[in-house]
Amino acid sequence: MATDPDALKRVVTRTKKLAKDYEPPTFDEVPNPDAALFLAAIDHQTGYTEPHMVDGQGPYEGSALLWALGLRAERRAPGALTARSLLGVPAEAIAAVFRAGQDNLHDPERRAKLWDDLAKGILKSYGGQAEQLIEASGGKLAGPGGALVRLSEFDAFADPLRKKAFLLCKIWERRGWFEVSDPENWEVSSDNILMRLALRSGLVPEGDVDQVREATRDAFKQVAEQAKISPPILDDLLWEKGREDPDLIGDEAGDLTEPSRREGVVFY
Amino acid sequence: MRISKEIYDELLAHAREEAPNECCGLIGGTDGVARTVYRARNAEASPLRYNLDPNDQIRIYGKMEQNGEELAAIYHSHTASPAYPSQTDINLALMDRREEGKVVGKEQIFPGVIYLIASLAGGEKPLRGFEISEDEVREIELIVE
Repeated sequence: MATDPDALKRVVTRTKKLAKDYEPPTFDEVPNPDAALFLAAIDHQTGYTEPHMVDGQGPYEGSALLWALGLRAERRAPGALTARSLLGVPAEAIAAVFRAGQDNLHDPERRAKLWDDLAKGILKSYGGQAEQLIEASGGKLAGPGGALVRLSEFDAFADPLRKKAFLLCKIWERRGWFEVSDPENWEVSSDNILMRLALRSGLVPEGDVDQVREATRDAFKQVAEQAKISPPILDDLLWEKGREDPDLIGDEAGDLTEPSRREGVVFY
Repeated sequence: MRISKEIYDELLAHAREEAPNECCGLIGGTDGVARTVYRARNAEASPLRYNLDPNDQIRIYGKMEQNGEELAAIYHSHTASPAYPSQTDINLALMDRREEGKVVGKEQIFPGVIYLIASLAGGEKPLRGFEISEDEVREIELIVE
């Protein structure tokens, strides 16, 4: 699916304006690479129905709520979000940690399996530490031995478009844990918010969910290049501002929304 | 806080079993009544401090979930000092409160949760409960039934 050239021009112009005074998040609240790894691994289709405060901060909703609750668990039990702690973790524990009032996280059973698979792999190949995976990648994001390929060996990060893996590497880099030597391989994390923005602005045409995700990723890579903004920064800008405003970068294509997820997909 | 004689005895028994190291664990409850003792490993394995093993802690949350309980109290033991929170205990109960990225004070890590301390030092009250906040350490009346 090709990117509409006129829409691309419009979106680049708007994005440049939006980026002028934009300060990307520092992710200071993420305490270590392991916490980021395990939370990114289950960051999909949360199912929360409303915003909630967590420890007096917020309100948070959706993915942000999942991260806030997970980080609270890590504050309460330092080391909880590590491979040693999460190997064989029961679904009930996940349900308890990620409950916000009466609002429940969707499908804790599947998330328990994702954490178990990830914990096994990290223990087997990286001594139980995300830091060792980062070291093993030698600063490479893509290509053989790079962080994206290493992450793709785990079920949670097996997404062909690598939405969760890019999100994770972005956080690792921003926190100074991962020095990326091949920044040309950055891409945006193609999720529901970015798909909605891309569709409504006319940047990508409607299609099935896989087509729209891929087209969104490719289109925003072009926007990043032309607007001279690093894809991870563009990703943050669009996600933060686009959550509240689906017409952030234009509404020329009308009142469109992202295609439905396929049942059982755990990638976004 | 209401606790049964059974739970009271269980906490002191755990303290004796782990001595000379401090023991620790969580108590699940409903409606302000302590229901179940969940023993945890002390990750520090120390006679001077405790640190709930994170692996145990996360699994205990799951068991409480299955039992329809909420976290009501966190307990640990003092083997040679009275049942009163040390500065280390207070530090463990609080975290930095931040506003716009700046530390502006301390806040409770577990709001509303009682800290129980079982002492083997032979004092008048071998088990006492406290609410620990930035401003004060306030003793909570324990009603043993």
